[in-house]
Amino acid sequence: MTIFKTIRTKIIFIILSVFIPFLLIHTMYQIENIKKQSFSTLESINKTINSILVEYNSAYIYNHDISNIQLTIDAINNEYVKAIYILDENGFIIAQNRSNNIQNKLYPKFKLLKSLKDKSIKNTDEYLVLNTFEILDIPIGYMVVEANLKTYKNSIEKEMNILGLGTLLSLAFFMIASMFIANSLSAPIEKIIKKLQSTKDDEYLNIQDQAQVEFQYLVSSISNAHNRLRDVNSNLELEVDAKTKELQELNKNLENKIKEAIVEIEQKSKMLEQHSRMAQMGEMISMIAHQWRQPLGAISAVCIDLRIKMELEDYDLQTKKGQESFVEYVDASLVNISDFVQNLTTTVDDFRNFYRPDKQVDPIIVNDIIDKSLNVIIASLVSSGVVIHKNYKSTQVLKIYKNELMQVVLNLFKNAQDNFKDKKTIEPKIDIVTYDKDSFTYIKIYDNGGGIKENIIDKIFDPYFSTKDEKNGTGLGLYMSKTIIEEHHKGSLYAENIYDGVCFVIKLRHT
Amino acid sequence: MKILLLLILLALELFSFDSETASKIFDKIFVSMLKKENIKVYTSNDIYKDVIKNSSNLKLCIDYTKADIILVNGFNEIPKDSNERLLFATSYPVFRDKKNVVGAFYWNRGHIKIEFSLKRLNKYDLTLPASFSRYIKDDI
Repeated sequence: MTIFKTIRTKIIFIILSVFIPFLLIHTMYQIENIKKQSFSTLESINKTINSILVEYNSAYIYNHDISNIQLTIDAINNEYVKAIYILDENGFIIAQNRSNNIQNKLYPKFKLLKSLKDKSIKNTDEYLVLNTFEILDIPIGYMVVEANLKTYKNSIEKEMNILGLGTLLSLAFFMIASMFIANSLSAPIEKIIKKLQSTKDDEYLNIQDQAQVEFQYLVSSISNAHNRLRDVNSNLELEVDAKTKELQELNKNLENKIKEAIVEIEQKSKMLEQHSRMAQMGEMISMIAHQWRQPLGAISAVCIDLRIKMELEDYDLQTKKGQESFVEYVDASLVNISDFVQNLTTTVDDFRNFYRPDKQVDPIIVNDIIDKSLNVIIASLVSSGVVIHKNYKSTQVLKIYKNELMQVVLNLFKNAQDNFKDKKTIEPKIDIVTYDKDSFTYIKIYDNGGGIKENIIDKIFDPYFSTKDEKNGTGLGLYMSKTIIEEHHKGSLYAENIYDGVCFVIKLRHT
Repeated sequence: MKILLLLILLALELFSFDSETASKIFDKIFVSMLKKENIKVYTSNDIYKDVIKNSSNLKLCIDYTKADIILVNGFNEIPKDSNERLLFATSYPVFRDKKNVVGAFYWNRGHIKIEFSLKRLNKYDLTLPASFSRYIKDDI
């Protein structure tokens, strides 16, 4: 982490970090000194006053000259003295100065002071000194002087204020000095930087007027380096231009190659689609054949029945009643044949519609497409014993390519049917569920065919991947289905293994 | 009237000291100087008579010729023919002028003074304890 972004701030910090501790120590020392000196002054003044009073009052004390004692102590008008008490040899006050700070109960203090070794009480709350008037070591009286600690404290405060101001001024001075020093050191560097910034890459650098030898060397080195770079750069530009032209040509060729590749891919894709469609067509023809088998058989049966009835002469055509009955029978048979033919036509129409080029979207509910797909394959599925369960809940009308979606659904049904046959599934069934959720319509087609092996489930949508034999599988069905859903309908198609089979999910966005 | 009042005040000032304290002082001075107990002291001053009486080691002597020391407050209190006698004064002029006064205890305004003359002490073969050395003068 960079703390100092400029040399200037770093120099200021270094100078101040050296100076500030020194200033703090000096200030602390001065504070102690002020306290000591103030106390010393207090002591000195009190000592002087005490000695003067003792010297000039002894005789008055000896003579009990109260008036002169009073005059003497009243003459002491010093801000450091709070109170003066003159006491007789028994400790009773005989005189005191005219002060507002007189203590009424001095006697206990007098006794305490007398018992103390240095005859004084000196602390921050109280400063009392006891002096004895004596002649030839015979006590004749006492004096208690109380110092004015307020003056002492005021004196300290005054000195502290002066010290604080001095400290601040010192700090300011050092800050200015450090800024000046920092500026004098960083200014040449900034000048060089500005010159560098203003000099274009293709210009020669020329910086002059550097006072210090170190900066002269620096400037000289930078100028040389810049000018060499400038020369190299100008050559480099020419080389870059040449290389750019080469690249442009290569790019042009590459574009052509890409276009050719795209065309090739498109062609292959069309071929794949064609291939798939052809394969599906084969399957469809097989389905149509299967579908036609039942009505053709029925037509054949009607024809045989007609022929048998004619050969056996079941109807007496000689009588009018017989003629009428035969005509009625033939008419009914023809109606039956006509119905079966209609059935055949419908199957062919479905087949033709499915293969008609589908270039426009139709609004339709997916349930209808599934039913149309089922119509094509239902006969084949039913004949294989497959049971179909339908659970349609989707009501959303979608604009989709109907036949393409039919192709997908049919492919899924056909795959399920083939899988049932391969695995010989007992009681094969297909469940079809549709529903709408969160702007999507879901078509889920479940089967109980045993599912897809997990190691190949990711590959089933790859082109030419098939689990069927070559005869039945091209490997294009699911690939085409996924292409139709994801590219033509912007939806998604995926498979999930379930309990006893697989579920194919078609997810279509609501338009 | 003013002068009278001043004189009264002066008198009160001069003689209002505590007799008991004075006794102790003179007792100490005389015992230290003469180095004996039961010192006979002569004084004609009534106040000092009481002082001497109250002292434990001093005896008031009515005959100055038999006294160990004579205590005087002024020139007028100096007995006649006592020039060779040992005197102690309570007045500086007496101490200064009378050559047989060895010492004085007096006061000037608020100052208490105790002074001894070295020459005169030597003359009478008297010595004082070390604690008295600061009171001994050699210029008188």
